[in-house]
Amino acid sequence: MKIAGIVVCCLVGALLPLWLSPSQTRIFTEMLYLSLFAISFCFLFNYLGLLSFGHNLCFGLSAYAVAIYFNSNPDGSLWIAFLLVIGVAVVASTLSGLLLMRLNGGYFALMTMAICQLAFFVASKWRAVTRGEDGLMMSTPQITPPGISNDAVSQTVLLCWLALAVLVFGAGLLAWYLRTPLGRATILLRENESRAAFLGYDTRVVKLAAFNVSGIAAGLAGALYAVYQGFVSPVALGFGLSGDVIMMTLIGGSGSFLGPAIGAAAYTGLEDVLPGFTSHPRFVIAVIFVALVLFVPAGISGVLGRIQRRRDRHAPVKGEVPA
Amino acid sequence: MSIQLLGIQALHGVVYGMILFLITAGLSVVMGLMRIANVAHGSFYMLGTYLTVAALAAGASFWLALFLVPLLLFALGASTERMLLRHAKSHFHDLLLTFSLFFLVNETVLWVWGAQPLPVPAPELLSGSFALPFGRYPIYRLFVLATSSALAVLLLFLFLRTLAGVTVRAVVADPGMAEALGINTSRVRMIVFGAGTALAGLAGCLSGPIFQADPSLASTSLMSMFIVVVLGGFGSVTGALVASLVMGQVQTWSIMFLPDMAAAGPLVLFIAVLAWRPQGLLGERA
Repeated sequence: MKIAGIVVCCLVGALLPLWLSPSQTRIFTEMLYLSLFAISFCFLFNYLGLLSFGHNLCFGLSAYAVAIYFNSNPDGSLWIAFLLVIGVAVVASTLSGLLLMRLNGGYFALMTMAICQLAFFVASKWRAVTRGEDGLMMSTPQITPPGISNDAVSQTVLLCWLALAVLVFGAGLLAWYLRTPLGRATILLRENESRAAFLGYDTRVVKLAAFNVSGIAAGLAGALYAVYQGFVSPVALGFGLSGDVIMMTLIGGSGSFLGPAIGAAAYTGLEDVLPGFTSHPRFVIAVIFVALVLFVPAGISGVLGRIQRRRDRHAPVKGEVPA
Repeated sequence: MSIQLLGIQALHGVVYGMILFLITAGLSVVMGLMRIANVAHGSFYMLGTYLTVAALAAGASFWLALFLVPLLLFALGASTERMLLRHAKSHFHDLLLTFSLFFLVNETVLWVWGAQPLPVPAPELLSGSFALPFGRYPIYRLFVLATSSALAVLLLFLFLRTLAGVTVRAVVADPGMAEALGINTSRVRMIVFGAGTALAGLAGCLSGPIFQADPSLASTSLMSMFIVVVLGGFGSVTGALVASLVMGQVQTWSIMFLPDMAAAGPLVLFIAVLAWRPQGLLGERA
């Protein structure tokens, strides 16, 4: 049932760009990679119980890595770029993870914020590599999938398909990880860290592994962001984006991977639609966010789940003879 | 480098440190009481500066603004606690509420006052400079130094030597036991939150003529605030005073000697301290 739903969603997502206009396809692409980013945030938030105020560390560093790679090899391959991004994400999340391992709650949030701010600061000052505040323009790589001639499908649609494939891969990686013994231990750690330690788990290893998996997913999203924008600036490491991903996750609901994806789509859609109605779109988003935190803490997916459960209650239970 | 310049720089650092203390004294106690990172505190500080701009534009004198702004922010802070934070279901929910307030206030400021920095004129009476042994120094900054030092002494006295201070410290140390002894802990929380917000507003008002009203004030000051609170330990006014003065010197000297690297110094200090002592420099609890 669940797998059927995922397959249907993927098919619809793959066919949608053929039907949408190019500008709509671009917005849809943005929704896809931001979904992956929000899911990687939700992974730490929901399954490890840690709130990160600087989750865009791996995202931004990977975006820079991709931009620098394609600027030095204009004919570079996307596969190598993705491998490079995984390497960058593993190094960044291991190094920051070593600093974060012993922290919890507010201290964890502040430390992630400080590390991300430091990366932001280096990106804005190290002009030789990042061109500082001006940002790094990059030559967009050609996407050439095997079996499809370049004239048949536009690059915009191909990028959208690439984003969809990476989203499925990234979300699949996180979902698979949660089913492995190490992934189960992650949830144990959230429930009771000292009990996990008494049971013989090396809590540092469990945490570092979770940081790495989440970082890889965020890094893949960052790579797509760089390819999509064709431009990377310190904004990718800024506090604004750290806030955006928290808002997306909470608008959607953090109970499952579906929530952040819905939230990222809703947030991107709002940012696109609102400027048509008001001159202060971000103010409206802030008001919506406050209202959601106050009145709908479970987010959109929480409300959908409640409706689903109510319907199930009224439906006759299988195998039971209705009176 | 002349000895005069060094003296002026050190004094700049002290003035900046004292402003930072006014902002963080309340934040530190609030974070000790509620165990949350109150992200909205930076916005309250910024709002203090902007309300001063509004008061001056409406024709009020600077002195009236200095009195009214903290009063308004006390009401805002107390009602935030009473109507929002008190109903939070968990620590995460708390954090998210302050986070959403941060965005709401920032967007409101951008909407009402625009993205351009606005100057805040210092009162006539305090313009000009004063001759000190190592050179001339702006009278206004000396006034800020005197006011904040007087307030610091008053705060430390209140916190360490009066019944009200003992009550607050009792609630920080053990809320359950304090409540069992008959202390109305939710009222203490509300008043402390309001007072902390009022202090941040006062700091915003006092620092207006020095830093100008800038819509990025909240996000740029946020990191230094948290650095001070973590270094000083949650819930400790004395710790906040020491950490603020250290931060004031670190920032002033790093701006002087390494202008490009100035913002990194405090960040590296913060990361190093938390990596070494996860409970903060002067904090007791893990």
